[in-house]
Amino acid sequence: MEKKYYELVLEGDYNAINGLLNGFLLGKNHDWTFYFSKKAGVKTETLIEVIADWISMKNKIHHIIMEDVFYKELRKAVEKYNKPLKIKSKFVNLNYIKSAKLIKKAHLNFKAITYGRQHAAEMKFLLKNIPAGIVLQNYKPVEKVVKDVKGVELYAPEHEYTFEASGTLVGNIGTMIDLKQKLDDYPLIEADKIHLKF
Amino acid sequence: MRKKIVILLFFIMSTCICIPFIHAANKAENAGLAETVHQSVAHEAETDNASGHESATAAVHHAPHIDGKDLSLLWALPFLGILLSIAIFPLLAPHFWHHHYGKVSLFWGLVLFIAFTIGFGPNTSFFYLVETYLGEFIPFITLLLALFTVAGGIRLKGELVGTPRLNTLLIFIGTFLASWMGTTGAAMLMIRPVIRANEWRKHKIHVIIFFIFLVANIGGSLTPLGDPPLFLGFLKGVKFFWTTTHMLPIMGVATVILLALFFVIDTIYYKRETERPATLPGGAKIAIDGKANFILLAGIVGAVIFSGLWHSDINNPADVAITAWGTGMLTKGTLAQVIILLTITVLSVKITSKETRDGNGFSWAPIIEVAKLFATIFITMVMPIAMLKAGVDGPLGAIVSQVTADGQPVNKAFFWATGALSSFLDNAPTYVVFFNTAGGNAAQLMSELPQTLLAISAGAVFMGANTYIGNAPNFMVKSIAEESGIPMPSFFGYMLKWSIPILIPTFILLTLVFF
Repeated sequence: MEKKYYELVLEGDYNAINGLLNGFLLGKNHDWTFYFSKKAGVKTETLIEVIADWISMKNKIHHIIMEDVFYKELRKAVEKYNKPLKIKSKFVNLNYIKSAKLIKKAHLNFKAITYGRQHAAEMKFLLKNIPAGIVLQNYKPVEKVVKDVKGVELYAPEHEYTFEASGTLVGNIGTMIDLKQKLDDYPLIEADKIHLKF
Repeated sequence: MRKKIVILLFFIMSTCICIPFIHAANKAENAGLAETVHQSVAHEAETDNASGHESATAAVHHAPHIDGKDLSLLWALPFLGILLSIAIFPLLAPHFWHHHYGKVSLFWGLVLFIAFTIGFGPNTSFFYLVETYLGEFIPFITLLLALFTVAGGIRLKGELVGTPRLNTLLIFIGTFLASWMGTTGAAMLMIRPVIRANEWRKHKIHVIIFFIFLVANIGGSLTPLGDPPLFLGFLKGVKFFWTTTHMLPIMGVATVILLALFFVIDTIYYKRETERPATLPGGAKIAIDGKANFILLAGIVGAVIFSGLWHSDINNPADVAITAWGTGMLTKGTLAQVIILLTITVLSVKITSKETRDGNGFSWAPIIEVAKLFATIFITMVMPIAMLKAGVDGPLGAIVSQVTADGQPVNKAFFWATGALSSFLDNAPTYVVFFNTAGGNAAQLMSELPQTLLAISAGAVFMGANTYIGNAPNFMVKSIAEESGIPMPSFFGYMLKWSIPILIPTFILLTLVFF
């Protein structure tokens, strides 16, 4: 069964939120996953949020991708902590959760170019062996060989071999974040930010 | 059929472009300014006075001569055309340029030559053709051929690991070698070992960028062998070791600043590497293939120095080896240099193994490119140089007045003007243009205006690093790096992320200190 993820928008201090989430995981003794969207390369911010972020001196908007079970347990715990005791904690408060949306799908566009056959083979292998849960769409590989290239040239350089490819990877957000990290480690592939669909 | 159409179009275009030149030439001729077959006693005396040479005899001869003072600016068009073609085509139409650069070069050369022949007569055009090719182009291309062949016969092998210290050392070695084997030769020798050493690293673009800055450009500033502009200066009379002694301080400062900066940047990136290779420094084995080529390299240096010392005065009939139109075309010293360099080239080909050359990715293509393009650059350069020699009253007076104040050269302006143009056009012809803007007399420049000559030399050599098109090896290094899987920045990416933030402040600092 594929894991489901929520995107939460939280307002608050980064360290406080990070501490809350990690502390919660430790307390619960679980290894549910969560990602700060910005760090994971997920496109999140609207223009208004960017402006608010700039204006704000302290509180920032944070988009967090979180496993659904983690989100549900967290919400339950925060509600339980706040309501019966009627306390308003500075750090554990539902008001800090501005929104929570279930992510249906994620996609990212990429393009790649290389002039070496060995690197092209590596790239093809990487794109052929994408993890389960991710589908490669609109894949356009172009291979070009210029036969009369005479080695390295000074004023009229042309590569003997060129491999270019572009496409879209679509699928589960958790797997997509891991794949994006892999693609980002490979300098010849330029992966855009991950786009979410709710 | 397609070929015939192309040839027909070529001739139609040539004719169309030639018409304004012919018109301009006729106008000049009508005014009695075009071809002046003059008694060159005065001309020679003038040359001798200016250069400080004592001519043995002032032979009376009938060398055709054009006066640049009243030339139309249109005559500079073929020169600009070839320079802009070199700058623009590789970026906008690389495939077309790769296949047709020779034809484009021939086109601009023919445009000038046909128009010149019609406008000034075959006698004058052939005089300039022979003078340019014998006196400048042949010594120039044989030097580049010898350096290229010899440097391509040396191969650095070894299991190196690209740490900040080793990378800095490799770039330093390349920078030092560039002055003695040419920027192209040093880049060809060092780039593959540098790439191999950094293969394991995720962050390595900056290594190639600083390699371009230092090995492919700034490193070539200490001798006339280092970079083509300086060799053109040498052909025009700048002493071999004048370049070394005068360029050393400015080159040293630039190199120390850039190497220190490189070390800091490389250390930062090195710390970000998550995976390190198993074999770290200590176990590196370095070997050099083709060591005999170092001896040949010393031979090249010797041949060039020798040509400047032995029978080197073109105005002294006893030193002249080839004469045409009663004018010395080639000195005995230069002829000896050409013969020695060709011998060295043949020797290098004979003694170097195929494996060594293959390991360097050696082919004759780069030198053929240089020959085809510079054959046109040299001949088209004749007209703007004649215009510049006319000074502030000439057709290029606007350029001359921009770099002078009260008749005196402004060195800062020379440094930046030569540099700015060298960033986008080939630096060798740019150097010659400003050399002539400053008077064109090597002896006077070395003795009375050394800072001006320094500004021109440094501007031409250093600022070739500002863009990929500023100097020929830049493209070569970029191309080899890309084929090795390093995603080099685009043309503008290189400028915005690297050359403008790093080189421009460095050059400002050099201006404040040296000019």
